[in-house]
Amino acid sequence: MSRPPSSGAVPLPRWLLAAGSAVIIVHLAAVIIPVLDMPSGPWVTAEGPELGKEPAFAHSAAGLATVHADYLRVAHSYHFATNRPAVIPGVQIEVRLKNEKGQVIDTLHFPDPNANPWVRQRQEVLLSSLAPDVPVEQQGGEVIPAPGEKVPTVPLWALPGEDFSSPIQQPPQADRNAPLHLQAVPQHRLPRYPGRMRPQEWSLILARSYGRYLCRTHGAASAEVVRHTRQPVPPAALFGQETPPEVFQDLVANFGEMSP
Amino acid sequence: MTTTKSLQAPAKPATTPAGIVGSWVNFWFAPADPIGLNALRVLAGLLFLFWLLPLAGEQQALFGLGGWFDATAYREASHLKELPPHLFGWSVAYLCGTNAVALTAVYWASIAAIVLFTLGVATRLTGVLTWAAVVSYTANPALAYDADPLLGMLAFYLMLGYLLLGQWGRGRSLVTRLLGPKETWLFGRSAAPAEESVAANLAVRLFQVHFAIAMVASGLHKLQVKEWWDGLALWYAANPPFHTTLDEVRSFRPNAETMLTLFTLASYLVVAWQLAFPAFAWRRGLRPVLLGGAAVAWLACAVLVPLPLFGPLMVVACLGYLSPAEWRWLQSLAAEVPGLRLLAGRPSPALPAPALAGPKGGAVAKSSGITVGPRR
Repeated sequence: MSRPPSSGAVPLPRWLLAAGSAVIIVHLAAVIIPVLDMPSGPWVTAEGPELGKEPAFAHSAAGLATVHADYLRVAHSYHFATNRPAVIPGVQIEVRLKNEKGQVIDTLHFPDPNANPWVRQRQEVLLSSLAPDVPVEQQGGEVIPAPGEKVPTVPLWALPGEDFSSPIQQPPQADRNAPLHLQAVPQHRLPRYPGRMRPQEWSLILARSYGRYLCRTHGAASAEVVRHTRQPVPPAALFGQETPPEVFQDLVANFGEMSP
Repeated sequence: MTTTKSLQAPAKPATTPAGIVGSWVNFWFAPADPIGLNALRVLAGLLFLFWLLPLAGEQQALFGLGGWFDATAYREASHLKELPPHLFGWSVAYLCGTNAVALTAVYWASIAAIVLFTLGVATRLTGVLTWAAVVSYTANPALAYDADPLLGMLAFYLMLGYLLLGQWGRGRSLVTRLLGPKETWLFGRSAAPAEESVAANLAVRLFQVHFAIAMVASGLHKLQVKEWWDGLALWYAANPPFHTTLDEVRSFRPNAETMLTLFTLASYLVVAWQLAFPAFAWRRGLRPVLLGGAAVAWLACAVLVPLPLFGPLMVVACLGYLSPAEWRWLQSLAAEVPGLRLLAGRPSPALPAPALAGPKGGAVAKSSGITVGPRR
């Protein structure tokens, strides 16, 4: 027995087929444009690794996908973060909730081992955005504030006791066991040597927001967010080599106290 | 005049042109048995529930403006220049502000809409509500996850299909036009087969093409990453930091060569499967490649990496490539299982197994349509 061919249905007229085809073509273009409108790489260049620019035609046509991306939410680059597994560090956080007197009233750990796998996975997604860090941009010249204004500051990860007040600074001794803390450094005192790291702005916003949420839900006056990160485990064992033990050590970085 | 029409393929529109234009029109606009759209709806509905129900109790934390990513964070993030485009979208949950009671009510209303949509009740309306729910609950930029855009894609094309299903024709009541046809109801369906529909074919085709684009785009992106060329990308997925100990890593060393071969082979197979996706997704003879790959993805996500949603999503999406004839065949098989008989309904008695009836799967039956070859 076959399907009935729509007793009440009317064959589609040619004009509708043409209009429908045009809509399909525009729709598929809006789907494909965000895929193409992405930087590629990084590629090896004479100046070091660089991202390739997105193709000009795709970039200029990006407006075609606005409705699909912003309202229909069906346009995406499909350049998934998990496609780059070797640059995604593991992140866990410890949150110390404090009362008005600054006393610790509770310590929470995330991802929460008691949460169900679906919630825990979303916690892991959130935490993954607290890392990786980015290098502090080297200042091209001396920063002089406008009259009556303060010098802009940049939050960077500092070692205990590190002093940025001196105009001449030496690189600190690398110590992976020393906990880092967030320190706002005036732009004219930023270290001139490479390798200093800072959290991304996005990470700071997330850490503050999560801290505020935990304060609200636990009735705490403030929350101190401490991040633990581990680098991805290198596949040294597959090549018969010893995996460096420091891979399994946490890098501890304190985002400081947040209050609601 | 007696004409014939294949069970395997949707009928062409009455005035189908020949050549490439004809193939185009036949691919997108041929009327098809809506069983494929209905089956995809049921599977997708179950997937949406599988995703959302475990998050019950965490609505405010995950979706609300007083949650993990609060209203202040939205304001702060709006000033950032380094964010990817289109990170911020709309959400029904935002209308609730920080009101936890309102958000809870919206959440459970969304669940109810998804349940009704899955069951096939008022699909025209519940399809839109389901899509709105899926978009709303994937809007939080702090929780953006790789599977989210694929969920939105699935919900969007299902909504589109049910918005159009049964609209082009005469003799429908206003209620049917507003709420959708009754034939989509999962239980207690009549034995009479559903009417063929252009909308059913169009929506499924759009989903199929879009999902294939996503697979290939993700595969091409992998080709820009050293670890996929090394063949070691899956090593990192299988040995995440904090979940891997030094002893576990050392335990690989005695079988290092075998493990290296397996990891690199598996990584290359993943990339090859994604890049070749359009070459096998529409071929009935290569169903084991399509569905086997999806099943392996589910297994890998369940065992190796903590991604509870991605594996089932891949399976549902790949099942979306089955033809109506294959769904009818599965329906007839399900009808033999006592527990599934109610869900499967009463299948048509004359339905043959797909790809088994007639040369090259071209089963022929009498109908009022046109002769159409087997759909690949």
